[in-house]
Amino acid sequence: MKVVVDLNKCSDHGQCVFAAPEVFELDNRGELSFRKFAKDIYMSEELDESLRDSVEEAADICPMQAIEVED
Amino acid sequence: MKQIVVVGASLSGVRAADSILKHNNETEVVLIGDEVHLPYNRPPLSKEALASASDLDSLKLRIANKDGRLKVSLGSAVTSHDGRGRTVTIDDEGTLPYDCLVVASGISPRKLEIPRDDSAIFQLRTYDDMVRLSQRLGGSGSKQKRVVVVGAGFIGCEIAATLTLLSHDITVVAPEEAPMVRPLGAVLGNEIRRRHEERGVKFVMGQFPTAIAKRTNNSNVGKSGQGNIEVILSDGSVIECDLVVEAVGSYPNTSFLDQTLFDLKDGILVDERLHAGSGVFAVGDVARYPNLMVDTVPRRIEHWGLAVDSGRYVGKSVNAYLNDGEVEPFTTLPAFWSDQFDIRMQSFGLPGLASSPDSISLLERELKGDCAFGYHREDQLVGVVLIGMNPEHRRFKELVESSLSKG
Repeated sequence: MKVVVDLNKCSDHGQCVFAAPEVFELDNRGELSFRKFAKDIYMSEELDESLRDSVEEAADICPMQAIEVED
Repeated sequence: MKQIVVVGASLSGVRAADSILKHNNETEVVLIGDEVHLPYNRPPLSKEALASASDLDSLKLRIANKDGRLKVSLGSAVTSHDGRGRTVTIDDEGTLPYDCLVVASGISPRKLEIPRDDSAIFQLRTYDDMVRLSQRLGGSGSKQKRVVVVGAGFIGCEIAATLTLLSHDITVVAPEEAPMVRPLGAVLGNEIRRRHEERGVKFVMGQFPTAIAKRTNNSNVGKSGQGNIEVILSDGSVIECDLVVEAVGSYPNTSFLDQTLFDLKDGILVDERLHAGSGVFAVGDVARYPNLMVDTVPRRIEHWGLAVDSGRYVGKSVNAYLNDGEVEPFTTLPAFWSDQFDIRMQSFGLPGLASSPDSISLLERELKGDCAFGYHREDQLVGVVLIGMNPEHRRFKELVESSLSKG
């Protein structure tokens, strides 16, 4: 399981951080920390299955619907 | 297999369908929507989507459809409901039986009951509404339009900001003393007004339209016949414009529901497990429920996040009902955000519960920059609104949660 974030859609609302703090983080400027690693599309490493519920919640609660969970 | 009917192919309806299928393998879900489109995300309609005339695909919501047990029926309306017989009627014709019904029918925009020329008045609730407004405004490079936005709530203010960024000339008209005054209070509402005015938005507060009509003397009518609308205000003054956007609140869609069995005074009344009785549940904007995290008073709250969270929750409640099991109450912390120009607002809790204007205070930083406002009921902090302060969100969310948990 991986998360894929469309960084052009993402507006740094940070709701994902509440749902899945193990995966998502805002930096000290209030921007999604993945912006440091990618420009348009960020794809995570393989994530542990135990995180599924929280990353699915993060995808659901994203105001811009910028997060996808891929198997 | 138990049959669960979800009324409303909306955000809360889709999340409800997912969660019912996820929490009970012995269910099939029929999701019924009156729009012809697959479910999509509405908040961008007043912001990014309106600014860039987005296509529908970019707004589509994810639907899991676990094990293919979901059937989606679009372009069909539930027209009546028999709560005792446990059936709904679709488009006045077919009858559909259910074991559980989940009401996710949402809200519809209210219309001012005044003399009005509907050809010049636009609302913004659906994707089709957005396309109509977008077409009327014309693409980029088209002539600037003078737009009167009636209503200074969140939707009205977001539309005013988006259309100003598209170089249109915007006047907001509303009867309150300040924009978004009910949830934010006058001090913060007026500060947001000041920031809008700095960016070119005009406000006429304390007034409401008494008529919206085509001009009768047509000396200035353009070739297209457009640009000749008059908005007559309560003090007798007149604003000329090309079109009007009406954002004056909404009403819950409950007219199809069985009124002999359910309390439909304001949405549909359900308990803290979102159950109205007789296997009928409700989620999202249409549900009036007590959030035990706050108190025991049932409220209907139109927050995007609660539509998601109540939908994600209701599958557990439906499953408990079908199996005579137990489930914890729905107690998500209410939260909302709004983006207007470069102003990011984030709220936690229920700021609208503040006892009086005196119970609203600046908690941190300065009114004119990024800041945090606190809303108190008696001595208890019941809500926080943040302007900017993105990196601090978690701290304030936890502050509100801990205050509410102390009761």
